[in-house]
Amino acid sequence: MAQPVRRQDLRPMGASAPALVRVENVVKHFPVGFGTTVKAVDGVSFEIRQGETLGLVGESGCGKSTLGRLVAQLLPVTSGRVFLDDVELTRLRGEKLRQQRRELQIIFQDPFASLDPRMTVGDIIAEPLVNFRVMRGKKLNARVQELLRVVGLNPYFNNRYPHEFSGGQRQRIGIARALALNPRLIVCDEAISALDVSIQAQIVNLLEDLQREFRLTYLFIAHDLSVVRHISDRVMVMYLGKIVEIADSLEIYNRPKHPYTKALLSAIPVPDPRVQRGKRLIELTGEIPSPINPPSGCRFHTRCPIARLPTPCAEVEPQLEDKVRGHMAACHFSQEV
Amino acid sequence: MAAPILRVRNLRTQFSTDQGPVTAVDNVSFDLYPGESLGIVGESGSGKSVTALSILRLVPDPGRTVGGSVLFHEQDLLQVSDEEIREIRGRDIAMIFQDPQSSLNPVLRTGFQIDEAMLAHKQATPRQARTRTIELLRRVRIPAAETRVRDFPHQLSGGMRQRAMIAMGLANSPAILIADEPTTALDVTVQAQILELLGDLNRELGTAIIMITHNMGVVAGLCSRVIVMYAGQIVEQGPVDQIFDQPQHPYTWSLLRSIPRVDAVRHERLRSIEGMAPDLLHPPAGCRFHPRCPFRIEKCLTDEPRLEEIHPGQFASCWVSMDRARAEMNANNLDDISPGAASGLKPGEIIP
Ligand SMILES: Nc1ncnc2c1ncn2[C@@H]1O[C@H](COP(=O)(O)OP(=O)(O)OP(=O)(O)O)[C@@H](O)[C@H]1O
Ligand SMILES: Nc1ncnc2c1ncn2[C@@H]1O[C@H](COP(=O)(O)OP(=O)(O)OP(=O)(O)O)[C@@H](O)[C@H]1O
Ligand SMILES: [Mg+2]
Ligand SMILES: [Mg+2]
Repeated sequence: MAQPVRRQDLRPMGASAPALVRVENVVKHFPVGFGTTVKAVDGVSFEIRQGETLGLVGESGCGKSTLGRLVAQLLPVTSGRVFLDDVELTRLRGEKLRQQRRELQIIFQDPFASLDPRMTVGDIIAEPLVNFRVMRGKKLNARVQELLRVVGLNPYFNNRYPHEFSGGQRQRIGIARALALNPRLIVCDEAISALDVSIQAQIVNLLEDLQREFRLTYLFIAHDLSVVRHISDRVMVMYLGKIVEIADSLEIYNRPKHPYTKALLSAIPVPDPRVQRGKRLIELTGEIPSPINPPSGCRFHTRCPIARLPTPCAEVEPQLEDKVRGHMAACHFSQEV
Repeated sequence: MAAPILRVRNLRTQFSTDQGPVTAVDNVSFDLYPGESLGIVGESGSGKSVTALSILRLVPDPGRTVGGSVLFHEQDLLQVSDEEIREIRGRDIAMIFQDPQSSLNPVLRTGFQIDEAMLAHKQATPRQARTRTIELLRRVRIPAAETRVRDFPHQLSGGMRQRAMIAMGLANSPAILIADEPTTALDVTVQAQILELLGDLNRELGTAIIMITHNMGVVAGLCSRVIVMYAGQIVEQGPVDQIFDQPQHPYTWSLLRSIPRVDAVRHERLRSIEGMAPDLLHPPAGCRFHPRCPFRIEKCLTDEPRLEEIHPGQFASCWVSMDRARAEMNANNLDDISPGAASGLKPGEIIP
């Protein structure tokens, strides 16, 4: 199921690179009335290393976008701490926070909702440059046109409005805007899922070029596991508000240590009609549990093919721990996966 | 084979801009059969969504469908009255929009909006509608559906919103479901379940599905036939196996080659098609793909190719076609997909 590694990796892993972002025990609960809360992110700790791409995958609704927004400081945490270098972002307010935010950009999942329909594309891309008074006038115009070209759009489109563009074209406008300030970290939340595969390839190549050139760091949220494997140095898997596994990306694809990761990998659609039709998925049986009322013990136990019930899986919450050489997993029986 | 349930003929939709008309959909024709899933793939901006919107007469201003016909049960949807088309929308032909904002109103609760989809066509009493809404949300795998019906759209995750839209599309058991990128926000396990659900609709209810997607895995798993669009036109169409095995149009071929493989080398440069999508205000003469085509010959610059049947059921509009490019231009060994990459190779004169 998991594919063997064919050739050497093209880029040595920055395993020893220092952390750019550190997330400590972060929790985000959304009150939804009647005294209930959605436990969207429920106690996660990890770091994103300088210059790396950290892939983030997991079931729809498990908290990926919420976590991305917490990292980019677009949402306040319920508890826990987020550091950029050694600065604790979660303690900053006002102008100080605003200055730090400049280093953290996000490309949003939904290209339709995230662009102001009353602004021209040029103004949308220029906005961060204007807000931070980076440049103006002719220089600003030139920069906007350059950014449009960088994402593969016609530079003369800058006077048009977002509704005049297709979904994929709008997504590229969002990418150009995120690049405008030369940030240090970009959270890519499904940044390329609206694009055709050729433009996806162009954008992935572009993100990698920019990364090499400017030592950019990415938190790359995506459902397309082939793209995630390609672009990520390490991959983090979430399930229902928790991290269940983190490892080097080749390692995780070849030797998953959490049964949820394994099920996820088995469901990757193959772009070959004959293979795809005959494919057997690892069925994830059972209802998808709700983050309002997550299962006890291991949150995956209600759907886990190897769970021992009731004990320990329904009773004891497995901790995210190092299983082998930096391969972290939260499972009582990871050796059986 | 049964008669088609939908016949689209010479569909043409334009947007007027200050610089002149943009023809977003240019002479598109195809048939859709009951019980099948027809895939539409193609370049971003090639007119897939506008084609779908044109079928239901939902093209936004300043767009206008200026020609063609859309036959559904002997009536031309482009000619029926406004009232008739409103009845047909959502009841006989449902659409899942690429843009969540065109189907989910942010200030109304999600469940209420799905109820409304049924109540608008007087398909149920309010109570029946609510019961069915919850059942539909369960079928699209939304956890705690009975609580989630009360959520506002912004309280749902991206993938849940998408599934709520799918539920809404299914509400009236339409004969035709047009799904525009319905799975972009879904993880692969939920996506697999949604595809299974759609496949069941094909088989059990004979629902015809038009699936617009960039995900070739989705096409491979669900669709029996596929249409490939480029710059407002259909450049290739045919049975899914043939198109994947033996694409005939160089655009299709290059597109399929750009798919990242799950076993590719990490960080290796991915293949993509060089150059930019054509400006639809001034589309290139001859074949619209020629400025980016590795296999172009002189004729391609001046003469517009038409769709021709190259293998049984498989149509492509190309003067060269990949059979010939493979046989004579060494296509399979070509490493990059850049314009005129096959230069120097036969047949015909290759323009540098
Ligand atoms: N209001 C408008 N004014 C001018 N051009 C428009 C307008 N709306 C759409 N277009 C153009 O019509 C073309 C077709 O758009 P469409 O949304 O159908 O593309 P698509 O194939 O669905 O792309 P994607 O895969 O990115 O969703 C695009 O090139 C777009 O720029
Ligand atoms: N503003 C909000 N109010 C209430 N609940 C919310 C809010 N935002 C998110 N949630 C809930 O938090 C959970 C996690 O949502 P999130 O958007 O982070 O998921 P996700 O992993 O990004 O999913 P997807 O892959 O579908 O985009 C979901 O149950 C969602 O409904
Ligand atoms: Mg999300
Ligand atoms: Mg579209």
